[in-house]
Amino acid sequence: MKSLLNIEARPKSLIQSQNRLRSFLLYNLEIFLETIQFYSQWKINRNILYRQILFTGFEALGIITLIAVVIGGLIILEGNSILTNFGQSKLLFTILVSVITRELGCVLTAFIVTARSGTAIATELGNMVVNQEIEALQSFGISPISYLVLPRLLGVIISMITLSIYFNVAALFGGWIIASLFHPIDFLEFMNSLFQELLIADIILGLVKSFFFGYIIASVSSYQGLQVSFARTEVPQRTIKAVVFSLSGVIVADIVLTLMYYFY
Amino acid sequence: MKLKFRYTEKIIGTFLLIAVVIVFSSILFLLLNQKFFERKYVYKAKFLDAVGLSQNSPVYFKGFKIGIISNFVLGDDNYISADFEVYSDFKDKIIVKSALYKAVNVITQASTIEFLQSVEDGEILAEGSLIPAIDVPEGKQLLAQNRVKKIGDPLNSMLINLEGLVENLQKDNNPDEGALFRALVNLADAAEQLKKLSDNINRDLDKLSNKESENGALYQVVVNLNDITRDLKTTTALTNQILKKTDLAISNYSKPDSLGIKLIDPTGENIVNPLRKTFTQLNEILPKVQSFTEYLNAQTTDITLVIDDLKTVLRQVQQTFESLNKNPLIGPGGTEMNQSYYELNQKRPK
Repeated sequence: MKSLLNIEARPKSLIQSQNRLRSFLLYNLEIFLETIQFYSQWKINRNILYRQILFTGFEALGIITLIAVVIGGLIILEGNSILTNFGQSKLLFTILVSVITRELGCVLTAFIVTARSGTAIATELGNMVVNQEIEALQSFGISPISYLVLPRLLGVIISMITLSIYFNVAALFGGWIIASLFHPIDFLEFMNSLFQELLIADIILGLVKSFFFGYIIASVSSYQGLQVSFARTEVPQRTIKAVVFSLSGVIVADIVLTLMYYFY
Repeated sequence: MKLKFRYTEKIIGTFLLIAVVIVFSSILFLLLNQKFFERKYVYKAKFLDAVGLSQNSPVYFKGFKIGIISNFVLGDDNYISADFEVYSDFKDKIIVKSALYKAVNVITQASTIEFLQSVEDGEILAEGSLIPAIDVPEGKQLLAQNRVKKIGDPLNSMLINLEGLVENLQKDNNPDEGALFRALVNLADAAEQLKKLSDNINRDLDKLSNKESENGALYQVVVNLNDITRDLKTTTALTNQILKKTDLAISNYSKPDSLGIKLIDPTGENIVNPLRKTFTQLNEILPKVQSFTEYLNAQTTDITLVIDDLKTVLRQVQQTFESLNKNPLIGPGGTEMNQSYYELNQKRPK
């Protein structure tokens, strides 16, 4: 199959395509088809993958933990002030689990990853296009998708899933800290109450959401980065588009997945 | 930064490993908590509605989670049919004639399902058997038979019992069908009859109380009774006077110093003593007569004739005493008695 990123083919297939959605879907199809080639070049690609995980995942751990602890504490704080009026303090655990594990954990992590890594990927790939590095790779017979996009895509997906897990743990821990301020509560007792409300389906839903969010962020950001033609001024424009479309895609995917969870 | 790139693999490995450990330990803890690895005994549960029901809704017995409700569907009979999975530790608690109670939180609509064990010792229920909720007919029957005792909200329990009673009374196959409404109709009929009776009584009382009416019998009775009472009072006063006279006569005859007495009965054996005895006995009788008179006072107008007879007797007695007192040989005599007798005649009931 002829690459969709081929310089000669690009004006016909992607840049000049009037149907952007169609071109994006074709781009994703090519990513899927190039996956096998990615594993055949594992030794080359793994360093890029590791560095992507390091940048997107590990380096974002600090900000993710801080936000998670604050969000968990705020949920307990707000929930306690409202629910105690109805004598429903026990529902704090239900709200904490449902809000953090099912929704906020994934969505807020996706926002942070978009802000940090999505923009970085779009900018980096855009500059590479401007600097004709993509053309250079293709002239050596190296697929830009398998060499540049797929490691970033996998790195973002893995980082997204991992960061969501850390976000959940940190948010629940922050909730415990704030809850302890109201009345001292044993950590094991708190966790036991939490696990009474937590379902395996909640954990799986969080992981599935993180996977799709990571995929959306990476694919949209890389697609927008590769959409840069020749001018450097296009790079920030595409970066902004990458952020906007990534966040929109994350929200839409969140709604769809949540509906699927409740209806199926 | 260089150090970070140098140890990238180790950092990434640790970073990912911790996350994987967290996920798997959480899932393992949840599976253990939900007794996923234990064998579960599946029973059929039946609920009136699915309000508050959710997949894996816990079922409690005396505060312990003994199982979960799963796979609930709306059945052909419009009741909710569900699977009730019981953990093996609590298999022995599921005995025949047991039921389930689903309480729904009005604010959150979340349900708490409680297992109500039969109060009577029974056999362990076979797997796959039906355990009804107490708001379905089978459960209400168990509740009515006192096989299970509902714990918790007494008002709700009363309402359920009342609802069961009303439903049973309205059942088509119930020989007492419509008994409640029949009772209400009978009660209404009785109230209507009572009202009619009350109206009749009021009407009769009005007639009886009407002074001008020909049928004012009650008024007449009251008037007559008033007259009788007044006459009795007069009679009693007359009796007192008689008693006084009697005392005077007795005192006169207690010391018969006059010449007449000495001439008639010098020893007093023939006239004076027997007469004294007679007067003494008469004196003893008179209080009884008074008591009898008081007794008669409590009687109705028919006693009037008796009173008249008594008056006649008393009049004769009075005449006797008067004649005796007027006797110049025995006592001094007087005119006071005549006046009293005249007054008595004037006040006699017509």
